[in-house]
Formats: sequence, structure tokens, C-alpha cells
Amino acid sequence: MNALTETATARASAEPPVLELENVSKTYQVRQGIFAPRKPLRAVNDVSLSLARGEVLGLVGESGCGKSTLTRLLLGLEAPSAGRVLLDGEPIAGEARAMSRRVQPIFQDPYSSLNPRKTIGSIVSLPLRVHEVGSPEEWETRVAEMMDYVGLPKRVIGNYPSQLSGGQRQRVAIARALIMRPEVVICDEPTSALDVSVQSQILNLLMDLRDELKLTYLFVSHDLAVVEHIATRVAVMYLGRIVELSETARLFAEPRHPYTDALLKSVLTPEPGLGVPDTHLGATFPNPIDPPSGCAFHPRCASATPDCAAKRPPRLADSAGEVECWLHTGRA
Amino acid sequence: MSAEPILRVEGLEVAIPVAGGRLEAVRGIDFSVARGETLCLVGESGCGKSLTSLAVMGLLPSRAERKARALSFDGVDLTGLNERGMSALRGDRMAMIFQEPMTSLNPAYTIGDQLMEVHIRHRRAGTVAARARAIELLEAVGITAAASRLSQYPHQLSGGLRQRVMIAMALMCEPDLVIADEPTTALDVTIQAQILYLLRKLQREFGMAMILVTHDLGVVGRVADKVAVMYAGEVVESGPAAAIFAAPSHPYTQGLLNCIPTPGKTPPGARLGSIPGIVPSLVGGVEGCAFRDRCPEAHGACTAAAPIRAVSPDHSYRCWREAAPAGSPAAGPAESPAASPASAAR
Repeated sequence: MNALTETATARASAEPPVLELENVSKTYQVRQGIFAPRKPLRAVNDVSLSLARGEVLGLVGESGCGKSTLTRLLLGLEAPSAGRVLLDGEPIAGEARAMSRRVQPIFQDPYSSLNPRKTIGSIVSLPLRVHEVGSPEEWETRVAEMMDYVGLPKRVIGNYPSQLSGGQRQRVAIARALIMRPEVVICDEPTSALDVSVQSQILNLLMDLRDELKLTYLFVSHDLAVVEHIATRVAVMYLGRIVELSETARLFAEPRHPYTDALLKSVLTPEPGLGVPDTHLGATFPNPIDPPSGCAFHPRCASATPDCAAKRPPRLADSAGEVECWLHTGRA
Repeated sequence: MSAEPILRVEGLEVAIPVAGGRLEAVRGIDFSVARGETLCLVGESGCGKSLTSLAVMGLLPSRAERKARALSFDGVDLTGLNERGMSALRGDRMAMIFQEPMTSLNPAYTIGDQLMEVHIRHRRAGTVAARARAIELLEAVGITAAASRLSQYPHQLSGGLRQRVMIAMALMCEPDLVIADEPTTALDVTIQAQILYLLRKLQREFGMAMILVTHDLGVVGRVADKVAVMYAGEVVESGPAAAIFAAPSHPYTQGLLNCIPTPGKTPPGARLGSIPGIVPSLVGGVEGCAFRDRCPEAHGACTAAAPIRAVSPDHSYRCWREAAPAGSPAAGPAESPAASPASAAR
């Protein structure tokens, strides 16, 4: 595993990242009442993030921090309000169709992400038909081959999603994502709707497929134990910003941002006797329409000083990764 | 804990008539919980853990049939109570916290109305007293500006706040027993840790008994005093939490624990354990051990109902397989069954 991490890092320095966000922002105009004026909501705020070929980048953060918007930007489903999305170093602009050949999603809920009125064969082959790749005979062989890859029995090809279990449905979603032979797969909470015993099967499958098909994953999850297990690097997001980014082992061993520390403390591992930790975070996630001044985390931060409220900390990038916190960048 | 249990359940069965027969969802389970104690009911979807908690609360759908040898709450036989008797207990001495606060709060009433109703109804309190109590409880569950929240509607609150309101509502009358059905599953890890911290703290303060229904073994490990692992409507293993995590004895419990990555134990990127196959259909009941189709150690005898074996006086499991070598139930041989499948999978 260590060797894998090293090769991923080595490759990252050698060739351009397969998918990259360059100072990307996404702003929505939202209303809070029927007669209230529209206000800007900066769901993603000046984020630069790159996916090296072959890596598994974990993305963690609380609901409302902008994870989903970030994945939609990476999939080309949303155009950035500012900044650029680069695929293999080339900017993509309105090329959602071309992009979808190379970047594919796997969504959280296999109960709502599959069309209930289509057969499994038709669901898995849809990307081929949309992109008009090959002939109908070829579609059939490729569907059969892909179902083999993801461990679905051939007999379910004519079945409907309602006839399959949750784990099988998620395998169908994976087959559909991989049939175009994408380079990058954006996994948005791929196992959180599944039972524990099925979850481990899907995680094992994703890891096998990554090795066999040379895939790159962005793995969004709220389950930090799973992220620690599967990711090579982890990005921590808070209120539209990446506040820390580091190699997985280092991030879990020595978190630098107080928010990362609080997140890690909240993870409940099955160790009886340890009890439930007190995270001292407070219940209130800030309102993204009216974010706190300076460092957005300062109202919940135990180590905050008056400086933190005054000015946003700059991003510090060093050998250990990236972090945005005045504790590490020196005082303003 | 040796205290007299506040809730004692023996031979609880729940069956639901469905097309094609009777769905035997809960098939004869026993458990008990004492004041100040937390029992976790653990299992995957469809194992009957939620129906068990609804059966105790008398909230089963009307077509479901409930049977039990004993179902007693603080000496009162619940099987003999009519709906009127049950509803006097419910919300007063026994309360329930549901998974989805958005669907269990009434969207047409303010938080204050819903909280105060509990107190007015069960304690015949006046509006002023009920309002004071509601504010007190909202503060106890860590909601700031509690007085101003009373006039808000559920949709104006975040998921974490709504769940706190649900907890406050359950605690309005200082119940002796709280049943929480996946109270934190829909929430962020940070909020989950806070809510569970809060529940444990309030439990100590009020001396409540708590039954926590969950599928999350991390939560179980940190919160439970006692654990009952359910599979296909049966308790397959039960005992003190420390003993179950140190020496899981049923193949299903062992399988479940191998499925989750444990920081510091599971090497990064290593293959996780898995339990092949699916849960059997419970329509028409199950002959023999319900887990045998998925069990790596199943053999001929497993077609007959499995006996209950004791690891220690309070730790038992339901399986044909003999217990780990006698003598030390917790320490020595306990390590090997848990560790070996993981290392073999590597």
C-alpha cells in the first residue's frame, strides 16, 4: 500500500493532474423568503484542487460545506462562476458531453439513481448509446463484460432495479459508471446507504476495479474510518474552502487544522470503554449566506484569537500538505 | 449492573400477515434493561430491531401480531394493557426518539406547542409551567436562545437541532426508559458525537434506562453497556459490550466486526471482510439456523434450531459451534477468532 501511495505521488509530480480545479468558485443567488432580495451563496469559494492519476482523494466535511457542489463542478454538471476546471491540463468549457466520457459519477442512493422502468441491461448500456460508441452487438459484449467485472450474475440483465438488493443495485451503478472506461470516477458517498456487510463488499470491489482498470477516484464520504481505509490523500472542506489537504496517514496522525482535529475526534470507533468524546464544537454550523468574517471556522474554534475573526488565513503549502489556519501560518 | 431491570422482555414475537403467508419478523427474543443502563440492539436492515422497539412501545401497525411470554415495564404487564393504559405510559414514563425528526415532528405546530403538549397532557401542567419546562429541556440539550425557538416551526431548524428537539421532547417527563431508534444515522459525524455525548450525559443525570437501536458498530462500541446482536428476527449473541467486542462468538458477530475498518488494526487498503449472501425471507418462518446460508462454518446440524451457548454467565450466543476453549472467556482465545479472518484475507 505504501508503495502504491509513493507511485501515485511520484506520478503526480511527473505528469499533469488528470483533473484539476484552478481557483474555482461557484456562487448561487438564493432567496430566504418570498419577498427577500436574492443574496449570493458561495458554495465553493476559490478552491484549487488536483487529482493525480491513480490516486484516491478523500473529501470530507459536514453537510452544507460544499462537497456536492464541488463534485458537480468536477463532473462538468455545473459551470464555475470563476476559475477553471482542467482535464489533463486542458481547460474544459461547456464540454459536458466530452467530459462525461472520461469522468463518471457513482451516487449515494442506488434506490433513486437507477431508473425503475428500465432493465439492468438497458441501464448499464445507456452511456454507450448516448455517446454512440460501437454497434448494438458490441454493446451486448461490453455490458456482459462489465457485469462480470462488478460481480453481477448474467441472469439479472433483464431484471428491473426493484428486483435487486441494495448491494446489487450499487454494483449496477458502478457498472454504468465504468462502461465508458472513464479515467476518473467521482464516488459521492457510495456506501452510506448500504448495510455494513454489503458496504465492505462494495469497498473491496472499488479497490479491485481501481487496480484493474487504472482508475482515479474522488471519494466523498462522511465516514472517516472508510476514508482512512481507502484514500491516499484527504481534503477537508469547511464552508466552501479546502482547509486542509494531506497524505492520509499524516492527516489522521497529525491533523493541523483545528477543524480536522474536531472531525477526527468525532469518529466513533468500536472500542468499548472509550466513551463518547466531547468535541466542544457547538451545534451551529454557520449560515453559508452570511459566513463569519476572517477564518470561517473561528466561531467554533477553541484556539481562535481576535486575529482569526479579522482576516482570512492564507494557504500554507509545504511538504506535509496544505493548511489554512493562522496557527500554522503565523499571525496576521 | 445488578439492579432490578425496569424492562423485561421474554419470548417476544412479532408477525405480520403478508401476501403468501406470515412474515415472522421477530422470532422469540429475550432482553432486559435496568435503570442507568444502555442496551444496544444491533443488526442490519430487516433483522427486526425496529419492530422490536415498536413492539415494546405498543406502536406496531394494527395488522401486526405481538406475542410475548413476558413484557413487563417496572412491574406492569404491558401485554395486558389496553391502548388507553399504554398511551398513559408512553411519553410519560417511556419515551421514543425516532430516526427521522422531520417526519416525526408535526410541521403544522411550533416546537413549543409540541414540547408543551407532552407536559400538559401527562402532568396536567399549566401553560406557564409547561413553557418553563420546555425552555429548561431545550437548554439541557444544548440549544441556545431556547425561549425564541419555541415559536419556530420544525422546517426552520437544521437536522441537528430537530434531533435535539426530539430528544428534549422525549425527556419532558423524565422517563424511566428511552428507546432511541437510529437517533443519529441521518446526521453528520460531528453532530452525531454531540448528540450521543448529550444522551449519555442526560442518562446519567436522570438515571434513565436506554435502548439504542443502531447498525453502527462504532456507536455501539462507545455507548453500550450491553449488546444484543440481532439476525433475521432472533438475538444471535448478547452480553456486556466489552465482552462482545473482545470475544465475538457468533459467526455473524465476527463477520460484522471484520466488515468495518478499525483504525490502527486494519491496514490501509487491505481487503475488508465480508458476509456473502443475503438475509433469508422470513415469510413462513425459518427452519434451523437462519444464518447457515451465509455462514463459513455451516454444516449438517445447522438445519436444526441452534442451541444457546454460554461464554460466561451473562454472555451467550446461539450457534451449533462449541464455545472457544473453556477457561478465559474474555482474554486469551478471544483474540484469535476475531483476528484470524482479517489476516487470512490479507
